[in-house]
Amino acid sequence: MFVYDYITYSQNDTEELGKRFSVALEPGTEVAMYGGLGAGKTAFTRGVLRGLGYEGTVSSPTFAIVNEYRGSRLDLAHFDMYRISTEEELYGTGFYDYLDGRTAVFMEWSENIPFAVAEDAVKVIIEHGAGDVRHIRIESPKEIAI
Amino acid sequence: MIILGVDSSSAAGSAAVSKDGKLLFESYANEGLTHSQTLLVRCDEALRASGIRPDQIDVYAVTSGPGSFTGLRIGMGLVKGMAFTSGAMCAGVPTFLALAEPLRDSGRDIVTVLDARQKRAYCSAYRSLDGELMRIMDECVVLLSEIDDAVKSLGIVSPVVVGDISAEVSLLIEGAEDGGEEFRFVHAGNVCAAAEAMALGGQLCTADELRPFYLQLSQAERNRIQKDRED
Repeated sequence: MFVYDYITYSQNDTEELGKRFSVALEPGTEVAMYGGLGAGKTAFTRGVLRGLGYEGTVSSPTFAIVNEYRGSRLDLAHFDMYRISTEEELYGTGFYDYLDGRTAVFMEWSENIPFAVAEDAVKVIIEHGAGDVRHIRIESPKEIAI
Repeated sequence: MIILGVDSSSAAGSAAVSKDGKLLFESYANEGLTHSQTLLVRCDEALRASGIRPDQIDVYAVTSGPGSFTGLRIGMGLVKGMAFTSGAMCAGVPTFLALAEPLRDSGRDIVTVLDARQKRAYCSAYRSLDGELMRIMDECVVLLSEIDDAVKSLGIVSPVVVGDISAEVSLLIEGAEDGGEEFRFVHAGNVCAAAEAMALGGQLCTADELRPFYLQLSQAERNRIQKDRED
């Protein structure tokens, strides 16, 4: 396991880190994100999508549960597991249909679905510091260049 | 009887037309494109190729589950929409029956399995007897480690295993044979064939009555899996 630690000082910083991280993404990559309300999970994912060349609005999939983005290099499914806790509920979101090897799957609130986090998933763990400071740890089974 | 059969219960998708039990045309692909973009095109292709007009269709058949959540809903939605306009009857063909259908005359016991993730299978079994497929195991979720016992307890001997994880499961059941590549995924022609038998058995329904079938874990199964996870 390769562990990378970062400190960001603003939402823009977090987005920028996501943008750099996007280079490491491959079709089928699962990214399990951890961190409470306002941690910056969506900002990070927005950065990833900017890195993939997506220019449109990126918002938290709190109500839709999943937002889908079609990219030229890969597709991305952005999940919010805040209201998901059982496997039946997860199945009912269509989650397993996205594990098709073509789609990068980002999961906010992965705390809620430990049973569905793949062993080879990349973990992005965001912790609050003082003010807008965030400590972001990326754990990857493969070495990544960010 | 003219039947339009549709399957989108897994990554593979297909549409077929049959007339009086004979398959006229089948369009099948497992190329990874989304069913929402391709399934209706396949239906159109199957109808054109077999020279059948939509108003000639007596029965719309679709795999009813278990299977991919989104896939089942796409197939159901499509068939309901088409059948609703003409008032034709529908057949919700259990995915397991569609998988066993090509072995209807084999005289064998058939274990049908689909991946239920986390070392589990959705499972059912049929016995081919005198051209009939009798279901001899209720559809259930079973741990792969217990599938051999589950099958044996029903007196099933040397079965053929079909479905997406048949290669793996056939190694777990004593004396079992893997049905092979041809039997991993549903083909719409078999949905038509199963629907023909269901029609003869009076098992058709209206478009409104058609429902997807999601195999749910019982609370007992959930507790058991939770316990296994903790051990």
